[in-house]
Amino acid sequence: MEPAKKELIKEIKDLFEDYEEAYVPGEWEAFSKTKSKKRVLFPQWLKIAAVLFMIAAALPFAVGEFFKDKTFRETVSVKRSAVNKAENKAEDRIVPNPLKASGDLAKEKSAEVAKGTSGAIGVSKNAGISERIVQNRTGQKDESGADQPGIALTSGPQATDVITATSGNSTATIQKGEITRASANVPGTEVNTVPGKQEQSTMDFLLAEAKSGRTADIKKKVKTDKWNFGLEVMPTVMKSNVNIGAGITTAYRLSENFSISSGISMVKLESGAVLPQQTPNSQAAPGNQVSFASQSSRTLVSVDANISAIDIPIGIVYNVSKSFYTSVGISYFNILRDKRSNTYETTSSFYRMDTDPSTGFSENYQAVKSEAIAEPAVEAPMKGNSYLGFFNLSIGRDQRIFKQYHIMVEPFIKIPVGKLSAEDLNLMNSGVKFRLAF
Amino acid sequence: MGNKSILFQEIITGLDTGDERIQERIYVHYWGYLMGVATRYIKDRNISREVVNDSFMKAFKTMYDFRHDHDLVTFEKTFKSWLATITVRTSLDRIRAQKSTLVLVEEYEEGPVSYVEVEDKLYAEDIMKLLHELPDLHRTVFNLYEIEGYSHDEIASLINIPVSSSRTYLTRAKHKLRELYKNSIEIN
Repeated sequence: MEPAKKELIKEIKDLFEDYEEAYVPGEWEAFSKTKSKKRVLFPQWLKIAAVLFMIAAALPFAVGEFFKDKTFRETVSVKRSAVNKAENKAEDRIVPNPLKASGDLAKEKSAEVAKGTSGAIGVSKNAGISERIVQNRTGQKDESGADQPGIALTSGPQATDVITATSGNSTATIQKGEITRASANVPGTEVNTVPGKQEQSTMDFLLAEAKSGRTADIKKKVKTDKWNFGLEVMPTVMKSNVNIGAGITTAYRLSENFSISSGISMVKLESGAVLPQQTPNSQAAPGNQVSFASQSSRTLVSVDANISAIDIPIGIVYNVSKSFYTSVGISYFNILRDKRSNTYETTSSFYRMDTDPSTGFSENYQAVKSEAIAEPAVEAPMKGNSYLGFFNLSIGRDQRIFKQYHIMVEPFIKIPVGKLSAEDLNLMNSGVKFRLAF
Repeated sequence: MGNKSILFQEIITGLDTGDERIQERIYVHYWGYLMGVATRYIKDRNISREVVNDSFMKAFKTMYDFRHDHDLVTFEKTFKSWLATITVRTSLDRIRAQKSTLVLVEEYEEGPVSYVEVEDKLYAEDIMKLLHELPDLHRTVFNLYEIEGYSHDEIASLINIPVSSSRTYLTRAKHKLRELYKNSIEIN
């Protein structure tokens, strides 16, 4: 019977519905080469590390304004205190001079009161207010200076003090100018009352203040180095094994108390899982089950895994005090090697000929032999896989050594989360990190 | 349990455990099928191979999140269809990359040919040759509608053409194919 003829389009549709070409040997090999080349260029962990680095690099710009404001406020407060100190000191030393020059305090005071001017009192009050007001007052004093030499003298150094506090380099010139002007207005005896020593001491004091201010600024700059790098080793303890890991770390200080830390480390974990006791897998021959001699069993007792992995943690560090800190974070975990071995318990029975000591006859005894055999497992289910792996908790002690080195001792605990916690191995581990930071 | 069932069971287990070694089994099993899909859209065999490899790359990245209900029969169908969808889209991307837009290359007269019966057994290689004589846009619409089973609305949004154009191109593609087939029989 001739098959029913079909329309062309329907035939084409049927033809291609499940059409497939024959596999060409070598295609997978070529593909996996290309794939591995691409992976070598940008492995997953590198991408994550790059993202973390970018976040860490962008953070200073994101929070930069906040830190800028704070620094500015600090600088201002330092300058103000320097100015106040300078003024106070200058007043302490200079105010008694006119008294010495006039030789009679009561006489001077009564003269001031009689004329109704505010003279020296006004100047001493003005010292702490503002440059403009002081300059105005200085103008007034210049006018009255011809009549009241004592007042002119006191106003000179004080005005200089204020200018010195604002511009360090012009100090000497202005001071000299003031003194010259004062000397033109006052009698010779009064000019001598402004001793060179005093002038020098004010200068020295202000220069010293300026220097110490600069030093403080430099110190602050050194302190504001927010990046911190380090090397670490971390012996860890699992349920039954002791392992070791090592790596590099970095931290970025967000504020006085908080910093963000990351790094990369190579860890080796030896983990063991003891399986629950199962019913022995009896391999007795059928029909012979009653015979004890023929019974043998093989049970998987435990699985031991030897895992090498790259651990990339990221966490927030809170500095409880200068020496103690605590940290919370998560780890990305990429497993490079997963080597396992299974331990089986085999039980077999056998007959044994022995002599009964009481009767002296030879007898057959039944005996059971049980032995544990460890075999390397072929499968490596976690190899090549990546997990958002551990929840990290730690507290640490930070000890500064030399100028810029720190030694940190940090007990920690790593709790597997997500897919990693669902694995048959218990990967929870804890230990102590020893870190050298610089 | 047949070999295929064992394979799909292995694939399901591999996907559930995130085992990368299952990729080789999937590649070897589906390579021929995906090559069949890609060569329907792209004439150059080397480019088709690249498209298939790109499709596998995409699939291997996301397949561990492939949702299924652990039913082997359903999984076999849905997984195969998912891979085919990736390959179709990758092929369309490649065609777009080669040309700025997927445009109609040539117009041809519509003749009276509307129904052609198949005389002999059809061979995929022969039909593939006929398909590649169609303009890219016509061939693409024909493949998407007749073989992949997309609707005209879906085709329109997939290749950015009006729905009415999709219908027109399909009609023209079918007509041209019939014509080409008749000519090929007459020559032989």
